[in-house]
Amino acid sequence: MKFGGYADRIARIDLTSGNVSYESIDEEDARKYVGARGLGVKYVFDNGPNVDPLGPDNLLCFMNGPLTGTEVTMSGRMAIVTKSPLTGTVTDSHHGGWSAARLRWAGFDGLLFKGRSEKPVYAYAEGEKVELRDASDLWGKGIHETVKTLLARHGGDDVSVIAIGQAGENLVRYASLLNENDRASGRGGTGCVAGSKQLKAVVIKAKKALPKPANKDDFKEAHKRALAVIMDEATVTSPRKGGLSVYGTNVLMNVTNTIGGLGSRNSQSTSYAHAEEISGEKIKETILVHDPTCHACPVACKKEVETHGRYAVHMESFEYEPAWSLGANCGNDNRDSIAFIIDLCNDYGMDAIEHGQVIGMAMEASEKELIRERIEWGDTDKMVELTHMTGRRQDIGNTLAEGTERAAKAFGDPNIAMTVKGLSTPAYDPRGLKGMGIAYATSNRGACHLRAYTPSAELLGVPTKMDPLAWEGKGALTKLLQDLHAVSDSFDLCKFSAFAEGPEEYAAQYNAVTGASITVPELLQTGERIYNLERHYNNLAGFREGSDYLPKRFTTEPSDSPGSKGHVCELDLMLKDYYEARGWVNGVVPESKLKELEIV
Amino acid sequence: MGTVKLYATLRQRAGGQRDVDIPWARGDSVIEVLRELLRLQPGLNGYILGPDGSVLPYVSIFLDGRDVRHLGGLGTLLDGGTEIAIFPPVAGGR
Repeated sequence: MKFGGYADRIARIDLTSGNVSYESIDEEDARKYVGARGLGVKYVFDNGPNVDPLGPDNLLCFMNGPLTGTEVTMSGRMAIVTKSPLTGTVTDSHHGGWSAARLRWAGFDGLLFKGRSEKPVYAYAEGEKVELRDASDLWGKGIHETVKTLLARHGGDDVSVIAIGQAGENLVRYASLLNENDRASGRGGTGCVAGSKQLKAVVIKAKKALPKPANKDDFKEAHKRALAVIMDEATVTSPRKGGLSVYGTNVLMNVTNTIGGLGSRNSQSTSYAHAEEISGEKIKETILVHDPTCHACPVACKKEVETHGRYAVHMESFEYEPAWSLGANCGNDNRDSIAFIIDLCNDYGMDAIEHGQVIGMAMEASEKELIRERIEWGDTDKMVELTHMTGRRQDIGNTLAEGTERAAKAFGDPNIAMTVKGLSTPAYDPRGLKGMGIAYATSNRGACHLRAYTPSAELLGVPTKMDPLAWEGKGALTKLLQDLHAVSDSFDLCKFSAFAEGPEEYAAQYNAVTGASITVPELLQTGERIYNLERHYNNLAGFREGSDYLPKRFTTEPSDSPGSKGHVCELDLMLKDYYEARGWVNGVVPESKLKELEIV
Repeated sequence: MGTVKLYATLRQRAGGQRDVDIPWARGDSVIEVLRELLRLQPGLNGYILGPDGSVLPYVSIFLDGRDVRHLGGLGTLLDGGTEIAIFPPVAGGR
């Protein structure tokens, strides 16, 4: 392997036989797909697009990139890549913390799991070796107890535990894998796949051992330059001064509400009268106790909170997305209950975005008397009860555990599911932020804000300021951001680095660590290749023409709120521009594009 | 009379005050309200407008939910407008 940065070691773990084998990374694959998301998608692609997501043949990849575990700022992310049981698409979901760095320090770029164990197991990685160990005593336990038990068993300050809870065991389709208690690879049902394989956890033990960059002098310069833009007091990332650092991701609640881009009551409205009560500003004023961070990150956007009384809890992931899904989306302004339910989701191991959406949908179903169960807007006790029932697949929880789209069909009205390709929409209403509409529709893992974070342009002004209500230019913007994020997810850098860094900073750091000499156009083409490989996989898995859409509510029911009043999302106009920029035929990658990008 | 709402770090710089009531009349523009705001809350000087008097990069000023950059800029008239909301750089994602 000519590239620096990599451990150049992948472990393949056959859970059926218990065999573990080790291999190098194919150099051509590293050049074309980098690592983390890109390389993981390549492995999943090579495993075949028609596997049953919950069958033993599905591949579950825990992936690092070439910058993981280095001193590169915001390089503490790990990608979990697999075929999703919720959407049927290829999916990747990333978490922060220290597990990614520790996996690199333990001598690995990735752990690939296939097969199905006869009994519950966990994988233990240390010193370039992986072993499978009995997890029978942990099966049936929540994530918090599992993490506590495994930390006590294997030592503490140099150990990371990535685990599933009862939701993964019970095959809740939107079950997550959680790292270190609160850092979720949340979306797409990665924990459900782990549960289907009887894989309870991955334990990584490693002391700090920073990989040496291929070019030390270049690295010093590139690192200094990237750190300077992140620390710049004019940016949102500026430690202890920028909005993201001071208030966390929930600094967004008030601004999306102000512009009429905050869905409430299952997106029946585009703003929420009580948004301030669940905003980052109010959290800081009332229940914030600490600002944790991840490996190599001075931003510290995590917000640890403590509540007392009826919904007493101490947890560290009061983020914008679940604050919206379990708050505004459910007509709930009780921030203590939101913290409590997020923590329950983290303990069962469930995607809190999807969970808030499935409850919001059930509330609308109840309002419309589609179901007998009474689930009122803002009924926090009922929300807690439904969370337990879903994690355990009991009664109506068994239907909710199928995810918003399947549950809405079961309730008799698919139109009340705010989903794309089976994944629920996150916290930006595309009637108030049009770019999110095209980004949700064309995301390869279903409705996702992180494939192309268009609010960066529509709210912040990075890379350029765009009117959130204009549809013009959003197709090309979405393609650009999808390609850029596909590369940063493959390094694997935190998405928030993109609020300060640009492709120039990315290329300089990648080149210094690996010894490559990639240019900015080549870097963006690498992202384009990864995005097209994902789309090609989905095309082969049955997502053909017409698969890029939005829930009708966003395209036919006008916004009712100041800022976006009267607007719908003009998806068809944006799709036309987007497909033209992509060179796709109505959502399908043509053979010529696959050849141009060296995919075939 | 209208209300200026301050958010995130701007609220801190205004001593924790969220809402600032400023009398405005038909024919007044956004910049006139901002000048009065900066007079009432001098801690905000340098955090909304730059030395040349333009809105700082990444700072957003909304008039009834619309960024004044996409209206008539700081010269936008307040006719009928009821609320100005000002945000420092904000973004997130998870």
